[in-house]
Amino acid sequence: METDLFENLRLELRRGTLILAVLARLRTEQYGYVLRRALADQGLAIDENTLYPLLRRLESQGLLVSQWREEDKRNKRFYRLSTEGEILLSRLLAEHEAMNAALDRILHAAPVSAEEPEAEKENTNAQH
Amino acid sequence: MPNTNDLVARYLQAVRFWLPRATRHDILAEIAEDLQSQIDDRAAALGRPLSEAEVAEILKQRGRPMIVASSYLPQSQLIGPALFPVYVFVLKAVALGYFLPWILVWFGFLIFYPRFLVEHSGLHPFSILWTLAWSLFGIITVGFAIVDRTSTRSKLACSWDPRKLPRVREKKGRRKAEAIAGIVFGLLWIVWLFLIPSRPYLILGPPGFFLRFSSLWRPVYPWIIVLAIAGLLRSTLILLRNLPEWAYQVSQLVAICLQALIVAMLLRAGSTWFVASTQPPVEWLPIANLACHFCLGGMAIALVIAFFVHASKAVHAWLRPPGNTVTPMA
Repeated sequence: METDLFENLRLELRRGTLILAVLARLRTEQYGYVLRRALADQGLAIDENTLYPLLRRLESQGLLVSQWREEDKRNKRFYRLSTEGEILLSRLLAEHEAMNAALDRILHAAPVSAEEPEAEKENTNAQH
Repeated sequence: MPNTNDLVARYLQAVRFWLPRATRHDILAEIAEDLQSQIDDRAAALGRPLSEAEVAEILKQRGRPMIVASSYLPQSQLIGPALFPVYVFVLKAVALGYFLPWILVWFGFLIFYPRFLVEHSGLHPFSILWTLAWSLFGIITVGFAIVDRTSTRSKLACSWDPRKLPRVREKKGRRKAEAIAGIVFGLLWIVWLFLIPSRPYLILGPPGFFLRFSSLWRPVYPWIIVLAIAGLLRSTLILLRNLPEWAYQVSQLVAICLQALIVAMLLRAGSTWFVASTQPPVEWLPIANLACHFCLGGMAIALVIAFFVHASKAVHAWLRPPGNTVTPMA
């Protein structure tokens, strides 16, 4: 049960990050297999059954463009960021940095003491 | 090199079955490319071609075909991705195998038997169909939701062997077999067509001794012969030349249009298909004419459906992006 909950929350946490990572990597044109390897090499392993449907979804949303092209005598589908995708990526990265900074502040803030002085508590109640 | 390509082709064929028709080819080509890249990389690392077991391991790691296909389908909250393709398949099977024939029969009655509406109080049969459709949809959906909750997600994900997947169905081989059958039966059909006017029992059976064809058939008969010869030539062409998929589908479309034209000519000509060849005329002559009328109506409906099916296949074949060599039957 606890493992399931952890797994669900972990997946939720990963989902947004994966989109950012994929969009960022596709500022230079790549095909699926190379993209997956590059992400894995940089510490963000992604399952094929997640990556390829994600690429198709991002393309249908207009954030990516793709093209079938022959390379090494094989047809490969190359993806890259669209103009719309570039604009959205820069906005998303700014948002991500702001969220990271906020999370850092929350995590590194001094913990609130468990035994608050009575007077302080009363003050807070009065304000509410 | 062992049968690694065959194993990949069998795997792709199994994935293909569950994919949405519109994007099927494109998705398969991409999966095929990815698998081939993995196989090449692994082989380069080992310095030798991969064994069948090693390829099977890559496929196993990729996942059960149905689960791979489900990741490309819209995600449903009620029925999880593992069972969603089967759910859609069952719904389609019920719609095509049960409701479509039902609707066609209903329309057939409306067209060829106008009193049907009066005798069966308007749209009452259609309301029954509507209620039945919703009930079945509800039962199937709830059934799948229960199975999904109670079961099998984990069972589906593990314990499967890519080497047990069915063999790849070769489209070229199948088409050749169809072409040979087309030539043999086309020849028999032409001989039969030439014999029918003088021997009606060849098409009617024993009633042919009491009936003969009416004059309605006379203007249409030469066209039926021409169409049969054209069909024979088409089968021969398919056997001798490897037609691209779109050309094959277009030739099917042309044949369907010509058949539809002949059926339309017949239906417009009248409804007395047979006359008595004996005196007094047999009592069941009107029944024979009505049955023939129904058959022609049924043929017209079947030809309209066939036209749309082949038109859609021709458009898909025409728009299809380039794929890879390991993709099974396009």
